Parts: sequence; C-alpha cells; structure tokens
Amino acid sequence: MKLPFDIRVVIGIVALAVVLGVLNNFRVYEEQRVKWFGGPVVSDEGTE
Amino acid sequence: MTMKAAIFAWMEFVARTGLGVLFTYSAWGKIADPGIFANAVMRYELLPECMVGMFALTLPMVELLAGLALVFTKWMREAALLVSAMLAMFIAALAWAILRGLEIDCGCFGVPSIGGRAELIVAAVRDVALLIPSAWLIFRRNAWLASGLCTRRVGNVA
Repeated sequence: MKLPFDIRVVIGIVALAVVLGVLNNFRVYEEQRVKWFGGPVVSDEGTE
Repeated sequence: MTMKAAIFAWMEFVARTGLGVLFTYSAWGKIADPGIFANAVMRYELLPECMVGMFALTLPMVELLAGLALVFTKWMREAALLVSAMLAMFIAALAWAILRGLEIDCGCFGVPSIGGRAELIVAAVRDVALLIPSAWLIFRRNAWLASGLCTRRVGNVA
C-alpha cells in the first residue's frame, strides 16, 4: 500500500525536533530548564 | 484550472497558513520557557515523571517545525500528518482531564492561564475543529505548489 506521505520526512522532522529541544534546554535560564529524564528543575508546587 | 480546483487550492492555502501560524505561535511560548510547559504536562498525570522532560522539550520543537513546514515547504502532507497526530493526542489528553475532573490549565500556548473545566472543554472543541482541515491536508495533492499559482510568474518570465 502506498502511503500519501514520505515517512522518512516525518522521522527526520521528529529527530531534528529532539536535537533542537535538547539544545534549547541549554539556552534557557536555569530556573526554566527541565531534567531530560524527569520534570522541571524548579517545581511550581506550593506557588499557587 | 477549473473553478472547483481553484477553490480547493485556496482552501488548502488558508488551511496550511492558518494551522502553520497557529502551531508556530503555540510552540513559541513553550520553547521560551520549557519549565512552565513541563509543569503543565505533569498536571495531566498522564506521563511518568521520567518522560515529562523529554516530552516537554521535544513536542514544542515538533510543533514549530511542522508549522513552518506546513507553510513554507513542499512537505505539506508530512507536516499535516504530524499536526493531525499532535491534535489527536491533545484531544485524548484533554478528554482524559475532563473525564477525571482535573481543574488544570490546558497548557496550550505555553503560558499559564486560569484553567478549569470550561477551558479544557473549549480547547478540546477547538482541537477537534482544527483536526478536520489538518486531516484533509494529509490526503490532498500539493495543489498550491503544483497548480502554478506560485510558479506562474516565473513561468511567464521564462
């Protein structure tokens, strides 16, 4: 069955997004960062 | 080009531009502050905590790249597939939150909001409405680029 899209392009976009996302984590201030295998570095619990 | 084909080409242009701009805009706030978006994701209580970080870093970039690809590149169907998949995921997450009675903000544009059940329902309805043109684009031939609407001037000069 022929798909209406090129799956390689889809995989390429997602792979590029992972790389850019990890690089973006270095760009932002420390309090805005997230742990790669976890939640936010600074939790907002108790601030609401 | 027939009248019908021209109307479909303009519908495609509106759908591509609208979805592309919306997804690029919604990615912007999440990319600017991944921590706020990660908090919003955590409040859904859907993902294990070890996955929240990578999800909060990757999803906004997929939104940004798919939004830009939808507007500016020839990979319209691939970008529309990603946009449709994301919308389906958002709808499922919002439905989960509504059914569980969570009083959270939807985290849709990366900025904290008042939140609550009404906001989640509005967001879910909006995402269902957006899924229709997005799914249509997956199966649409790339008419805007192929029809000559963009290339006519170049062709005339040549």
